[in-house]
Amino acid sequence: MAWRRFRHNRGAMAGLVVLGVIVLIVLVAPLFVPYTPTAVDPNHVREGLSAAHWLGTDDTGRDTLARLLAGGQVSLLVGFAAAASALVIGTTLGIVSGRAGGWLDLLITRITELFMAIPSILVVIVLAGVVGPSIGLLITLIALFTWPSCCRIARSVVLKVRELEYVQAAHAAGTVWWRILLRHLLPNVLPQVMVSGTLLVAIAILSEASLSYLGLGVTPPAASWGNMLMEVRSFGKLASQPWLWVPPGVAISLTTLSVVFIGDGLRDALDPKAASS
Amino acid sequence: MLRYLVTRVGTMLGILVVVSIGLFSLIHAAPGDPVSAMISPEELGNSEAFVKARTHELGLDRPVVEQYVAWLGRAIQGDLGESFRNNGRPVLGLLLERLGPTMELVFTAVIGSVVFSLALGVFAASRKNRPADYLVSGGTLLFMSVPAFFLGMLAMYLFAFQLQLLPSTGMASPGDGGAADLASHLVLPAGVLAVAETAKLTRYVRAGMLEELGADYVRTALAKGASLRRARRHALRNTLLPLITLLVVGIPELLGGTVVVEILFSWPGMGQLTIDAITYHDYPLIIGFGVLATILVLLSNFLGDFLYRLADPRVRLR
Amino acid sequence: MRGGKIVAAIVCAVAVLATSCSPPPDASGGGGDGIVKYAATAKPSHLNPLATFLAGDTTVLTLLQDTLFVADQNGKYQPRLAEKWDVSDDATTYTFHLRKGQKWSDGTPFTAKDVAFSLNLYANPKVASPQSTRLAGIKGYAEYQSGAATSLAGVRADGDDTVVVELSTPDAGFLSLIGAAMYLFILPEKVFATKDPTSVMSDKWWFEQKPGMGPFTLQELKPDQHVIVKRNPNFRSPVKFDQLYLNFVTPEVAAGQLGTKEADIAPVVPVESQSVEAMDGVRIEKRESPGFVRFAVNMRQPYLADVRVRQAMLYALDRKGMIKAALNDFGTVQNSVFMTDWALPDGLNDYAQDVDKARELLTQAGWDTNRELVIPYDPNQSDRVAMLNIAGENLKAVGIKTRLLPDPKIDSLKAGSWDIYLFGGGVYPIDPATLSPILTCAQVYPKGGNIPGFCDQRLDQLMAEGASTTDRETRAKSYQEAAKIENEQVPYLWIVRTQTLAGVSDRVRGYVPWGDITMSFIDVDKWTVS
Repeated sequence: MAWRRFRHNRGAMAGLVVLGVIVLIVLVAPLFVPYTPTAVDPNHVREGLSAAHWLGTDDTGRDTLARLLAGGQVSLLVGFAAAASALVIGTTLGIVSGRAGGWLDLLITRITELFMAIPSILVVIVLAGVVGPSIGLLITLIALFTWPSCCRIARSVVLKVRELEYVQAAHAAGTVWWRILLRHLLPNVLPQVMVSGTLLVAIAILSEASLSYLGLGVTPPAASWGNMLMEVRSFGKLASQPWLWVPPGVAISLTTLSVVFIGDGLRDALDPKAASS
Repeated sequence: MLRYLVTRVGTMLGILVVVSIGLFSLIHAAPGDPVSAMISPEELGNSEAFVKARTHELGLDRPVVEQYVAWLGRAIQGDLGESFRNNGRPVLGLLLERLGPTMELVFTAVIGSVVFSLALGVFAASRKNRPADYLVSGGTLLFMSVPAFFLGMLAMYLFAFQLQLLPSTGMASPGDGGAADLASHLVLPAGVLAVAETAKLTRYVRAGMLEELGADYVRTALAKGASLRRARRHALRNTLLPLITLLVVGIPELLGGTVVVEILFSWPGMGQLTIDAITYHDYPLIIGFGVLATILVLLSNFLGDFLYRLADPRVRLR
Repeated sequence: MRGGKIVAAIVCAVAVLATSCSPPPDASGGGGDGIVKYAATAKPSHLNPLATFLAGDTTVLTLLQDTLFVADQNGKYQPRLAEKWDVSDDATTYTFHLRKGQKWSDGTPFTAKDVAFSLNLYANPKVASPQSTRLAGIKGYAEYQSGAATSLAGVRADGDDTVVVELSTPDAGFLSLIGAAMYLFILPEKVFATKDPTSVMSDKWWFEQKPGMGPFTLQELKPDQHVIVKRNPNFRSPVKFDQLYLNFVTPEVAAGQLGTKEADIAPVVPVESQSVEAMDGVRIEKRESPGFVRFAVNMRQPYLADVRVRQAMLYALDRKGMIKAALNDFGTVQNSVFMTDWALPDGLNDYAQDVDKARELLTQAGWDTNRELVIPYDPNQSDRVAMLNIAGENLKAVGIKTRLLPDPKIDSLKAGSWDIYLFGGGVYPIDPATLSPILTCAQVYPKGGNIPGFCDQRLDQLMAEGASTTDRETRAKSYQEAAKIENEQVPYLWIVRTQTLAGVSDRVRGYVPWGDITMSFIDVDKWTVS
């Protein structure tokens, strides 16, 4: 039912298709590109689009297309992994919190508040200084600061569902807790959380971009969409070498856009009252 | 009510302590120290006596726990210590000095996003499913997807360098400080900061307006001959409070966004100060900023929760 | 109407913002003819020459204070507060003759007493200044440090215009020690005589700097924003315009400000030179740097102690390619740390790129291809990052794996956890004696600036010989042999002597470009503004 509504949402389907295409290209296309993302070529620096380099070259002669694809793998990996981790952590804690009630609920809620109160940029920068920036750290950090929202949603859904009659009946009848979990809680929690989950992917991808821009994310010589933009810091490059920044900028925007469309579609499919298109 | 406030304040203080301990441990665990960070590697050899003297002067040779307790003792009295790097100026004074410009940015961004999101949201709702609506909806999605610093670079390039309509960096032109100059410097950074938030809020306003206008009581009133404009005004009023709530809750995110924007536009706010502090291991300043930022976030959460309760009395306060 | 209320709200808000926030700075005569705007990329932190030297501090200090003399770009010393000086044949006595009739910016007379006092202040053990060791060769230094004496026996003022400095051992390189760059700014005796030396480091005076001997006085200092300085009419050669604004911006934005006329002068990154040249009314001025960019090789690591490994790394690098790609061809390949013409012998190995030779040397040395070299670097310097990317690929091609570690304050260097480290700077052409701190055994980091930890007894001997006499020919012989040793041993992977570029607006004429960017204002009295 909900899937049918989703399918009819043109925006959402378009988003799904575009995202799928991006993922496919990023995974498969590197096999066809004759350059590696880090191979330098001082004789072909700062060149524009050409038959040899479809998206031109950068300051050290590296092929932009190769870097775009490799960067895509990294950015998408970080995006999905961070969002997935946040989702799992947040949902688990939220369900536990809502289901258990009492002191456990209080504790988890306080922890959620704590994480939401910490100025994330500060912690990220300091941690990157201690541990050294890396992809693993990036995923962990982004997940660490985005799980609270999932937790809150999961918890509020559980609280609502708990009050429902048939759930109370099941409980009174002595049904095992994990069956209640599977049958009643999860089917209600998951869809809601998925909506926020897709938004998390968008947030994660944008966070990676910002952190790499600040030099805290993916470090050279590896490529990521974010750090490709970081390398276009000077305005000479912005004006005269658009092939360096337009592709990663468009890639980030397109990916995030499709994810947001999918998220919108999911939300509309699950809750037709809120449908706005 | 009183009990609620007391527990709430108590929790906030507890969180502050935890955050300060966490930050303290983190920065002391990081490699490097503030004194040698002030010296270029080649000069380090000449500076042994200097390093020893300064290290002792700043109390950095004492055990970490002792340093923390000393810090806490002063912090409780409102004294956040002295900055290592900025010639020993008091941390609190430095932060407050920089808080002004950052708050100007955030404040302008907040006002701007409320104004624009209301205008655009209402406009889109009223032209539902027509090209204008699609334009707005598409636009909001687009601006939510573009990273702020990228947008900032584009904007700086277009408006400052190409069209030369606005200054590119800084808060004021030296020798000038008038309102017009300040305003022109504010436009780009505040605008860039506000964009994503505006997009988010516009979508909310639009959705909210449509939901209200679609509600039964409204439809009945319209069917009975009430004016559309009045209906719209009612709908708007009902969307307003949740909108403000959403806004307030989004302030911590905005604060985070100021770091990148301030660096890009050389805006002399807390963001720049913090990055420098972290790079140079200026411990008192880092902790001071952490505490201040946490307070701001906690306050806006508190305010947000309060507004939530106003908007929906069913929500119980804990 | 609803819209009207909102508009009113905005107007109120803007009014509140504009009037209540930060007080307007000195609005003294907005833009205009008498003002030069400089886009500065390094911010000052403490403006205290007794403390440490970071680029931002030096630049601003040169505006407000002055030194006795400084090395210019042609291998000579430019007289500043001192008009001329005599050096005894055995290189132990230096007599400085100050210009007559000089005044502090507040009009009071400047005398030899200020110089003598300042030198004692720099060496004062209670102050613990890192610059103190520059004066370690002066007679009585050890006694001063231990407390047995209350001042330097070897420094005395002789009348109002003469200062005599006596060294305990001969040092032909003493002038370069105190004047290769702007190190020992002369401070006002009447201000500091009454201050407690132990607290002088955190004194508030550093943010006022009055009086000073520099071409300007400080008018306004907003850290992170700008510095405004005003013409000092008491300077020995008063500048030809009223004010100088230094705006602190990030390097990416600096050049762009030339186009919008927000800056009259700005540093230009080499790869941007074409964009800047295309701007209307702006020209590029360039000058060779007095230092050079190199990798220090951590010779304490056992796997880097073998000279064949170091030579192999050098043979692997495509230095010409690095210059072309990262520096837009603005630079020349270096093959030695020695930069003074007469100290360089013929026949130094130029280590032209030879990948096969590199591989051969590595095999001979038994290199472990699984080993990964850690390279710390400062991510804020885009041209260095580009060089590192190329170097990484070059090394990979011969079987050496690398890992770049972003580390703006080079903490890993101080912790010892690094393998090779790319950095630049130095002021070496004036005298080969300036290389002792980076080559000799006694100066092995962290004791001194010898970051690789290189130690060769014969080289040490040659460097000492070179400093022991003032006879050019004898010195040359010693230094040339030292240069041969260094060239063979490769403690540094020398890369390039860079060029420093500045974009200058056509309304500023007479601008003298300096290879060392912190010296941009040394010749500010020669600038004219239209």
